[in-house]
Amino acid sequence: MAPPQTSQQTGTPLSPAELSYLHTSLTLTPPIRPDSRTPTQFRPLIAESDILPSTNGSARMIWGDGGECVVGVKAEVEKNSASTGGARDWIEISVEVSGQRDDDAFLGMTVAESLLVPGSGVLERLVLGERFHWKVFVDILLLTPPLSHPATLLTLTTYLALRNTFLPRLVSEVAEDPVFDDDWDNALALYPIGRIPPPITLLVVSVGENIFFDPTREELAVGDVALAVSICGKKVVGVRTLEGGSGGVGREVIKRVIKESHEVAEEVFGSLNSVGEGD
Amino acid sequence: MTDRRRINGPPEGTTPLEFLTGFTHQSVIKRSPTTLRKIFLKTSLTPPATGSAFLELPTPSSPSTPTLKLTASVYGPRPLPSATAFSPNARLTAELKFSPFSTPGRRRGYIRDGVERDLSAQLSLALVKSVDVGKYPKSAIDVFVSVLDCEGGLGDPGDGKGGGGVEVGLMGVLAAAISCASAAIADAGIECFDLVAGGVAGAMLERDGDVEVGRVGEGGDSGGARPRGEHARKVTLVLDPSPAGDYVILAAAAVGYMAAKDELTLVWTKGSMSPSSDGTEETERLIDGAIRAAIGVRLVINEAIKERWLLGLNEIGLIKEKGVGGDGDTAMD
Repeated sequence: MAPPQTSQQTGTPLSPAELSYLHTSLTLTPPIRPDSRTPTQFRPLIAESDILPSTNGSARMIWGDGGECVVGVKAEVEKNSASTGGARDWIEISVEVSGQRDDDAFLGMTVAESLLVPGSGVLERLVLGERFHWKVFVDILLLTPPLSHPATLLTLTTYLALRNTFLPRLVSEVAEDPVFDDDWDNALALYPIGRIPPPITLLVVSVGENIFFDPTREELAVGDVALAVSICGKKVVGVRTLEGGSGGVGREVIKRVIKESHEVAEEVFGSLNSVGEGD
Repeated sequence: MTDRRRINGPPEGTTPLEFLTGFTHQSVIKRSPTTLRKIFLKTSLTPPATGSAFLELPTPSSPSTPTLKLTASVYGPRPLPSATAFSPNARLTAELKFSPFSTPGRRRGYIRDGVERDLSAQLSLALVKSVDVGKYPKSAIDVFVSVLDCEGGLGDPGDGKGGGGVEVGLMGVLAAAISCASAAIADAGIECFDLVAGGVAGAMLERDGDVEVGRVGEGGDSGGARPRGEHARKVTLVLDPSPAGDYVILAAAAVGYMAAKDELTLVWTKGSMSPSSDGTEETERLIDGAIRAAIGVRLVINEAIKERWLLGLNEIGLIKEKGVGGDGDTAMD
């Protein structure tokens, strides 16, 4: 037997026969996943927030397969300048995958695109008077390249970190240079409760008639289509196709995936918010 | 005596240089929301490549207005480099590059940036599902798309209109790149299941309506005025939106669509429309709109490939005096 190959290019270490077996078991009704999860069930994970004392907000998440993600959010005061791209540049996201060259543009783009979706109201909260604004740096570190696509892990951790990000309260007047409240207890949340929360991206794979959330790499390999669905608040704000699957899919499948992700996202938001309360 | 150590200006005065004012975004041809722009698509323009295509959108009235022009060239199927592992299927790689002079705002560097890598990845995703990669084991198919000119709307600093809304420029570039590369793959004679056509649709909010709504919102109390304001906003689905158009795009979708199989190879949507609903229906409508656009583009690809094919038959003498379109110009309404 050939040794298991780990590179993304060659795909999974499964043989065609094994892949066919997996495909058949996933197309059954009800489907049988290799780890006996239900279609909408996520893999168990450990999540904690506020772990880095020198940041404005941070979170860490560990998945059962060894994937680990640390997100730190830092904010700096910056002068408004006409030359740069305006509010679009106020949030900067960088993704670092350990053990890989930083050539995976996709991950950062997905997060950035859904964070900067118009109407989410974040950028208004970054304004500091007339001449200054906060610049928020979101640094994402994927410690172990997980065996599956890291998009879900990454956005869930980013969500937790942003949810726990606090910025010092401004005490100066609008026209003055910004002066902040010394007391961290008075700091304002970047995403206050009751406003539109940060976005999350769910990885969904469709096999035959069935739709699976949080797919493993093997499930991705046999899927008809893999989609990353970004949801902000209660709205679907972005859909992207991912690598995986062969041939195209009908539009009905895509629509069903979008609809179902929207439903599942509510549950995900609920459980993620309870992480913050537990601490 | 003249001063020979310096370069002196002319003894009599000169008139100051007068530059034309920069390009304007105003001269956009008016078209109905469901009309696509005409597309010029011609194949086999890059001799060294196995297959190639050139795509251009029409130039609006003034020649200095940027428009979308891109070329795709396909090399392969050719053997994989000896260092790579065995692959039972052909490996398709796609590379999309903006020329340094292509963007109206900031100059693009020679090194591929994040946006280009992202578009390349999506382009290869859209194409690989249409190519019968199983027919070409141990080989590589390389697709290179180079954007010669584009209309902006790429989210670059100093480029955006700043009025909120999403940028459709990248989606337009991606959709055009998919269509062009698909034509180039067909031109290269690589076996495909179907041809992929790219289509874009956007939910458009007219600017004038937006201003009015803003005033209504400020005048009344916010709670009561909001639903009325939402109602007053005119959101229409527009196919093939131009980033140069004078409207705000609230949400947009780009698809790679295989018309004969009625299948999608790529879906990319962004933005959201109404704060009240959950956005799933709007996303569905957008995807349907983008598919309609892609069907229109597909007709152009068909024509371009047919022209090329007839030309080829003509050359080997199978057809004589058949109506081979002189310049291969294909356009649609």
